[in-house]
Amino acid sequence: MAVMANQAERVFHDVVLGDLSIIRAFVRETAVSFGCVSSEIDEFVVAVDEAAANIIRHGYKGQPGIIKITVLYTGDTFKVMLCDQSAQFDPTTVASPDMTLPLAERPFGGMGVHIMREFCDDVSYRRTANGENELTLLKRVKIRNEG
Amino acid sequence: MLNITETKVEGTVPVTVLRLDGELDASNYEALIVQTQALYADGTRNLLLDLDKLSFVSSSGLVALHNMALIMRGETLADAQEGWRAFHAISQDLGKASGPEVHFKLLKPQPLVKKVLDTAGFTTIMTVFEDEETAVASFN
Repeated sequence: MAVMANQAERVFHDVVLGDLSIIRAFVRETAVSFGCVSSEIDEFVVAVDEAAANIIRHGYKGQPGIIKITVLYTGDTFKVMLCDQSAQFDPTTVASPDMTLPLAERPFGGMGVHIMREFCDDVSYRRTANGENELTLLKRVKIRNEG
Repeated sequence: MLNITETKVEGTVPVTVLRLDGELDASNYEALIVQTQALYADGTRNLLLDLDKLSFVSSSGLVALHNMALIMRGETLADAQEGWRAFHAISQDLGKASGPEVHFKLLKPQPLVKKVLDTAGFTTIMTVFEDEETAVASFN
């Protein structure tokens, strides 16, 4: 079966936490328009939310900034790339809380990143040639037979 | 968008049921903490959080849940901005306590919300009920 790649992009200017619901809707609706089943990507949308919230809260720290979100669907993988211009930060280096430890012994933080990792099949980061942060979240999905 | 409605019910003891409708994320979790503080100040000592119509929760929402549990324990809250500090504080408390929270419980999470709770380990420290009557009766 030939599978066509689908791609969509949206830039969020002066992004604030109140935009998170719009970001989630954009990713969810785009995925569905590309043929993904909504329930199959629900967890992935949580991961995208965690990534975007991190950028807004810890990257831009209340200052105006942009997030460019690119959604790419190739038939068996669904990718979301979040690109921002805040200070260099690689969330993939953040340690997840050790979930084997009792809650009392777990360190501060890391829960958002932990959820992001758990709900994706792959998370990767690069600093672009333009000096931007680019975080790519990947989810493998079932191939749909068109018609 | 998150709507919060409250209902007072009588079990063995008075219980306040907070019903969430919508999505709980980094933009609105603090409102839930503020409302819980007001409830506690008004005398609420047992709180059931109805998640039946909550379609989304992120780690910020989990911070709210942890703070709510703290409030219902009568603890002084950390700054809401320091959510995970509060998380750690309550975790330490819970580590010393025996069993899950007794004054703050959860009702009917949808599968996605349940998955987030499970992934964060919350269902080991907060009791989850599927039936409201049973949940209300469990407070004593």
